Amino acid sequence: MERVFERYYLSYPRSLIREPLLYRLVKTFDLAFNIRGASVSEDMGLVAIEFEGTSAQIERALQWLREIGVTVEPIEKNVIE
Amino acid sequence: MSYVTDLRCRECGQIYPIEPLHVCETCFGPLEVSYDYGRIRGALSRSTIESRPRNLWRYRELLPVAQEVEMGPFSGFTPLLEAKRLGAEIGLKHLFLKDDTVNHPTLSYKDRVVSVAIAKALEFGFDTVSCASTGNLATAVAAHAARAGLRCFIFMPDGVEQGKVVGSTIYGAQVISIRGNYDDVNRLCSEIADKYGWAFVNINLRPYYTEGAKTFGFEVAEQLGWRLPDHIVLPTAGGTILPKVAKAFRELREVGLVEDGAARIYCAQAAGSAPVIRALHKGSDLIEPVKPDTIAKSIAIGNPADGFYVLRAVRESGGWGEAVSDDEIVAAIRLLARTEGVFAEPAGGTTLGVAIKLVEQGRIARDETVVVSITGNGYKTIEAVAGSIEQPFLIEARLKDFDALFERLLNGKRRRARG
Repeated sequence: MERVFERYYLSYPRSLIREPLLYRLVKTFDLAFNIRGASVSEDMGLVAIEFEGTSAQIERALQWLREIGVTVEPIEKNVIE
Repeated sequence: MSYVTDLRCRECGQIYPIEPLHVCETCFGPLEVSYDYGRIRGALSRSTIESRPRNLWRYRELLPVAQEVEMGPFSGFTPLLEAKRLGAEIGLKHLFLKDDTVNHPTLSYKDRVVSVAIAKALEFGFDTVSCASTGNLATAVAAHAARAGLRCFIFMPDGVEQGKVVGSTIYGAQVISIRGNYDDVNRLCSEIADKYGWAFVNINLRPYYTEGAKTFGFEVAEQLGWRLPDHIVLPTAGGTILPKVAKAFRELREVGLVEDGAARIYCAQAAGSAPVIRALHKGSDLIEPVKPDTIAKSIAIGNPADGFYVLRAVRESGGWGEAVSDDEIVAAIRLLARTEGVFAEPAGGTTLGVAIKLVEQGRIARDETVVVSITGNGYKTIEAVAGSIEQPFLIEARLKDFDALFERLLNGKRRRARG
């Protein structure tokens, strides 16, 4: 399967800030990732990240992140104006 | 001739060439157009600008377009109305409305940003332009593309009202409805922009597109006699216009077109979609995404692309921000129409509603110069106010019926005056 690179912003709500989500994500979905920017406050976390894997792997990982309450968006964020 | 030097990452400062690029490959920060202000200072004067046609290209040295511009010749230079009757109602002595309800050709501020994006698309040699939109942006892109002879694709979330679809298809654009929620549409459009190499005005042309918003600020300063207002209230959706008006004011000082001076800049959002206001009030730099729920659809963006830069511009200017409820928005739309004869879409009700709140809070002094930004036309969003409007009286076609009704109306007015 062809490996692709996809870029996202992940927004973590307060309840998930202390969870090692990216570690669990890598263990579960066998993805590579590269953090390009991050900011964390007591209320939320924001991570600019690039994933490397097959499209199917990335899709499953994103689905899992959404299910546990992480907002996943393209790095352009909202483009519908 | 262009005075643009390069694109620069707003976060890490990395430099990129003038190409259809929008994010920094290193840190994913947004790219911004840079200019050679020293050369512009020598080339541009108030009198040069004043001698040019009354449209947004009169500030062409401060816009990122190299070739002679053919696009959107009538966009921009909308009225700055002194609002004496409205000012008297809300307690302001020097209130002005920057009235983009009459922007050409599609009656919203989006004609500014799209004019610049389409001119840039032509310069880059694109044959297809595109955007994801539910309203004003779609209409502006479709109309400008028609005039430029470009192929146009508009993406909309499924379920958008028929009127909005007509507003784009009438110009010959291909409108694609996408099943799924807004997040799905966002993601798909980013993927299409990547794969098809079209000019997505607010994705790969975003650095150029957003520069068009500066003309709103240039015009305000010129129309005030080449000075900055003490206060300006701007709406925030994706976060384009507010930081760009701040940039416009900075540039006008930099190139010597206005004397030193500062405007306090205020952010206005609808309470049902106020992620920037929440962060501002909390003192945070991080914007927590929200699911919008407001009648102010044109500014209902839950995770603004440039929200952080709105916060920064507001704070640097010494301004503030507030949110208003849908009821307050409707009341402000009606007040504006009743006192000044300007019918705004809900974004305009939002800025006016917030201005009223800021005056009540004492943040805006009553004798200072205040500009309230009206960025779109109410005729496009009749449904937002229709439910609050009184029904007309129905009478037979007889003079005595009208006499009786008129008497009743007069008595009602007298009773209200006594009460």
